[in-house]
Amino acid sequence: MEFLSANIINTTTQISVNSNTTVASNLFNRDPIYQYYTDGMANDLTTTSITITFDATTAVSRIALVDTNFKEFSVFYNGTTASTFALTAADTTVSSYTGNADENKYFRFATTLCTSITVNAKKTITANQEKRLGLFVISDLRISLNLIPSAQGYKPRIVPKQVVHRLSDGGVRLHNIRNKWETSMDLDFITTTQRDGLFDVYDLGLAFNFCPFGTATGWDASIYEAVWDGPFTFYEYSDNAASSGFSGKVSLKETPT
Amino acid sequence: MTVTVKTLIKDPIAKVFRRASIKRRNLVTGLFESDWVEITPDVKSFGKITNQIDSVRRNKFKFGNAKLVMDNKNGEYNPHDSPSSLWYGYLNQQRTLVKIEAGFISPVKNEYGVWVRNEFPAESLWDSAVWDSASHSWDASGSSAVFNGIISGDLPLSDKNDVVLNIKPLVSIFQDFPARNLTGWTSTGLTASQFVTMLRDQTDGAGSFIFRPFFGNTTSQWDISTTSNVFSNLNTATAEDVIDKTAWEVVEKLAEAENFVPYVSRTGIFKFISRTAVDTAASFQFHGAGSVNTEYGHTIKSVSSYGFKISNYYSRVQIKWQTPSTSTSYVVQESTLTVSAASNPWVLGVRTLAIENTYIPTSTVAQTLALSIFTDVSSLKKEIEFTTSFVPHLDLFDRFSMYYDPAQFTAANLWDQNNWAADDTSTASDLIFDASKGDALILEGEEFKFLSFEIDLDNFQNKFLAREV
Repeated sequence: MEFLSANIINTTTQISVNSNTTVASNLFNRDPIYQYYTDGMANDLTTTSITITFDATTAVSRIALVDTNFKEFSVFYNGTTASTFALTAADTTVSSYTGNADENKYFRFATTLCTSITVNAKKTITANQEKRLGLFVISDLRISLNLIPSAQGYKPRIVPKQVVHRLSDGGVRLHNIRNKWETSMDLDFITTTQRDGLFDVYDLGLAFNFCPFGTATGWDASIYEAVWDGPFTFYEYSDNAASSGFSGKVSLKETPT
Repeated sequence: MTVTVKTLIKDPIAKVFRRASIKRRNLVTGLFESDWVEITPDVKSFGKITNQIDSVRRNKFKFGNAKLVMDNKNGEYNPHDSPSSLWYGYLNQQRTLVKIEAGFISPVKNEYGVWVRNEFPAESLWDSAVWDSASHSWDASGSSAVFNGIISGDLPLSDKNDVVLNIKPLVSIFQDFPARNLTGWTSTGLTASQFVTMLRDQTDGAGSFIFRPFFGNTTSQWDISTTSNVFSNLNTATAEDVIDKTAWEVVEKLAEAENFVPYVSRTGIFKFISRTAVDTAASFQFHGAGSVNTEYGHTIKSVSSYGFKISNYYSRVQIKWQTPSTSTSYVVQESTLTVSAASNPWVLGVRTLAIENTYIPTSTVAQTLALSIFTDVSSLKKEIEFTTSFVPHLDLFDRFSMYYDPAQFTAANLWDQNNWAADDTSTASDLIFDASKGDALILEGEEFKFLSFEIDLDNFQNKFLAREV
């Protein structure tokens, strides 16, 4: 379970694409029905390039590609195709694929200082389709939990913003506006270092990304920008011995799009 | 199945959207920017939007304001001189154009796995058979706009980090403008439609239009029905009927004299059209309890008021069209009172609609107007006020029909007709099993036209007031 910085991609001026510029802003739009897609590149011999350029040299250690159909693609930094990321706990050693079959990818790697990050995509999972990428998250790890909560103490839920109409015959019609993630976690036996790391996230004063179970293969695409509401309760001891660690509750709510 | 706004209105679960956008004015040219800037993510509350005619009294047109509560934690809605303001580098926030849209979304994935958003009501009208797949939005006509207006009034900041944008309807630009400052008068006077056209084409003297930019900067956003009566008093900027009036007051007086209505449609089109203009057929049907309809579905949540509107019935229309209080200054159109069941003045009483409008040029015009109004008000008509789930695409004067608990007496339910009643007729003395659901309210396709509507954008709910056609 990882707490990450907010997506570094947050304005179109950072983005350079070689196709369909008008939908480039969808790369950082978390609404699933907004995606970046190419126009006129439904051919596995053409290469789509997406480059994110930072204002200043930026530390990056996590990248998420959500809702993509890239089969042969590579992710590299500073404009050098050879500068791929050395992935940890992944299905390949570096961020370059020739036969990817996953629609969602979550890359972990050691913190790397970058001035730009580029995705070059050539082939698609179903051959010769327009390339698409629903959400592109570039981020840096703030804290990874050493201990995950028990199933009983982990309550992720999708909360709809909806209007319930009770009609004249008693029937009900629903009008849905958006779904948002909310997660509450009860954590026990947290070390002092972890507690302080969580407090840094809590006290940050900024939104952050939360990725509960990010994996390079078979990832469920669960990553969202959140705020931590309510009190910070990790100064409670988990047991009668101070060395047992701390217990507390994390309450996360997804931010507006 | 082809998705349309009608199918989405009746769907048990539908995805809806709201969108607010602004157009600011250039700091140098003073002109509106060409593209809308979306501010939806900052909206904390959309509130309600109201549009109505004759709510206070006949020929008084009231257009509701909109009110957007904005999250201002980053200072985007600070005054234009604040660097964090969206208006920094643009003109003052006042008179910024605001467009509020609402409707349904029906996303579908195309062959590349890309979502096509498909908003309804949609802007364009394409031929689905020729140009696109049946699920694309191009097949539906209309617009998702529900309100067009301008920011007006104080925009105070507070420690709650909220800013309330008060948005006046577009007609407010006429309500503030002195009629004597208009140019384009002719010595012989103007017709009503010529006056409204003069408003449309009004410039600052240097060729820049002063009203048109608020209506898409085009003449196609003005729907002006031609009129023929010449109002000779509208001949100079200092004429008695002009000098102390606003442009809107003149429009209202002209509308009264022509039996017209001036209003801005929800899509931002200025309309100056005949009050008696009504669609020849109902464009929508509302169904409530006891009514089953698979085409329009069940949309009525409640009916708060239904019945004859005696306060809008008049047996006598009196128009005073000249200033002196002499008999020649009045024309009267009335029903003759006789003591009989067929005489409305006897049955319902004598009620006079008195109108004073010195714009009217001749007795003949006054008489024609009196007759036209009399035709509209001399029969007792029903009005209905009801609440529905979200119906985004209807507008003032749209014609529709109502069905509520229509399963009343049917021949099949006559009990033992042979013994108890004449077998060829149904009369009040028959014994009848009533198949209706028990409400006193029964509507079987009665047709109405809208006099007002309110869209609650926080609850995606409509409230309508309508008058029998």
